[in-house]
Amino acid sequence: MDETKVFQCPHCGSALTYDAEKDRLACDKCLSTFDPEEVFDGEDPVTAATVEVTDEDVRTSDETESESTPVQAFHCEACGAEILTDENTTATFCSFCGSPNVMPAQMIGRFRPAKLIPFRISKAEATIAFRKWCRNGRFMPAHFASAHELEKITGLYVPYWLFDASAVCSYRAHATNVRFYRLGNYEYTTTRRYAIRRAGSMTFEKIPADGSKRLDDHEMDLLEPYDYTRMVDFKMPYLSGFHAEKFDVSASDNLQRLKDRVAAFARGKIEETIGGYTTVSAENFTAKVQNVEAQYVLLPVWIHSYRYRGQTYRFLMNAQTGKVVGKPPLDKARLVLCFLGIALGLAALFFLGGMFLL
Amino acid sequence: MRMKMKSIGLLVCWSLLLTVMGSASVSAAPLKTYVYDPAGLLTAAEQETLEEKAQAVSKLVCADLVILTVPEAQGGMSVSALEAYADDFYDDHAFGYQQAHGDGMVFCLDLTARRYHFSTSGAVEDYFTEGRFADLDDAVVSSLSEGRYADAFSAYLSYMEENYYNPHEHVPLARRFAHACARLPIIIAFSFGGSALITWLLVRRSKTRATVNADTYLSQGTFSLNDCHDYYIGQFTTRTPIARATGGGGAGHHTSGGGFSHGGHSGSF
Repeated sequence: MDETKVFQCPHCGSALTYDAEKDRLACDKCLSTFDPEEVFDGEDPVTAATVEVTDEDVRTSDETESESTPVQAFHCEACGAEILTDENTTATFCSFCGSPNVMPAQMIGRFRPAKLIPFRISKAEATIAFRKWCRNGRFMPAHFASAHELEKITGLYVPYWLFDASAVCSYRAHATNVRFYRLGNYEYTTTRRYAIRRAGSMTFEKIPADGSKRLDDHEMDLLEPYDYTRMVDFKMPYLSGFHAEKFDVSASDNLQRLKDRVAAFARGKIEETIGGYTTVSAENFTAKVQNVEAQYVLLPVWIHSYRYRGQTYRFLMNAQTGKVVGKPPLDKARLVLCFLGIALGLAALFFLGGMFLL
Repeated sequence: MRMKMKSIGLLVCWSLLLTVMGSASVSAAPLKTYVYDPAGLLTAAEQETLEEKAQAVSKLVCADLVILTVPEAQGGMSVSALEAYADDFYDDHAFGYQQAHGDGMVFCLDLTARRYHFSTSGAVEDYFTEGRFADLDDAVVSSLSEGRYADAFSAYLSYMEENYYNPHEHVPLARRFAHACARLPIIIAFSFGGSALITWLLVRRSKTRATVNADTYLSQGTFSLNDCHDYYIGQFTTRTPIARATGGGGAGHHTSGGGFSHGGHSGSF
């Protein structure tokens, strides 16, 4: 059974956790703080490696799923208790002593991230944002924002692939310019027709795509953008005090999703160059996405999952920028009450209007 | 005590006398006729029903609402002739609620010319704008086209009952309430529709939008176009005649031959 890594305070021996506000590892007991870059994480630092991704690398889902066992067992370095995690967990908390545990054995070889963006939003700030988000959602069940639920907000390092890719594209469209004018007793409409031709190329950098099956791709896309200037080389101490996962969707499995995004971006850029027409209707657009390279990184997210009437709802927050994403659960009774209340109010208003605006 | 009883008895007798005299004077007041059908377009029963309705509505809205048909012998009038006919009829009969040449209106129908005219006077003249005349047209035209003349006259009275108020006088609260009640189905429909829209917007507000685009990830200076051409193919022109507004004609304020001010609006069916 593999050992975990608990980063301990050199002064008092308590577990250290990463403090987002101070950008340092902090000890809750003796209040000492340490630079995460200086805390020894047990492994030699790795340089940010990139992998080239081609269509040949794309695996079938069967190949992806037959890689590892579903449950992993570790020994907590602090108390020796057994920690059972799922196959993708790389950092968690010991359920016996509460110590933040990092699993170095889960981050070996291609599973060791090249870089990460540290948490910038603390749990207290995330909780305030969650409360605010709940206030905006008038139709949520009352217990959704309870103190008990607030405790469940989890800091998670999500595995991401950052793709670099270039696109070579061509675009054909029909455009018209319509002009109206009057002469005598007639109205004239003159329609001028044009054929639009565009061809070009462009390169995109660091387009993110999450490497987790559990998380919804669309929701993760909405969390963007991340500020990459704050990205640092991966060091395990940054994970202390958070949950972390390794990827279970490889870069090659994300290739089609990336191509679709690059094509959409490229089309947007091309269409920006067409202007001054009444109508533009596209006839044909092709984009060849090439020179794809991917880098494995971890990006910070505050997450809260909620089961309501058999469905899972998620609150997600970009833990660097504070952007919130999520579909709140709808309490139908509240929705109907609100609808009837507004209808009654409007009816009263219209009735008074009918009485006094003759 | 006796004196007191005597005085009470005298008071009762006096009040009774006053009541009898009052009722005699009311019953003696000649009732106006509101429905005139020399063309014979209405049956006796229709005429009676319309007369009752016209009496009631005229009393309610404080304006004389007259219905008039043009006899066949005089029919086929032009717009201006029909206007003069309706105005003169109103003036000659000295209509006007509780005063001669006061507030009122004539709905005059010339079946031979398939034309009608609304002649308005006093407060009714001030009330009617082109837009309101258009609404009144909508209320009566379909019935007229289908030959249901009694229904058209009834619709005219109903329109006045539901919509007309004297713009110069305070409108009683009961009248305002009735006005709003008559629009209850529309009020309910708009309230539910508006509420559905507001609720939908409130639910939709909590959704997050994407805040990235191509420029977020575009590597600076790498966007280049090697083909950027807009080819002119040709043009075509279509020509449509400008539609001229064609109204009912004859509407507007004018002075009748008798020297009284009237408003009016004509239409055909």
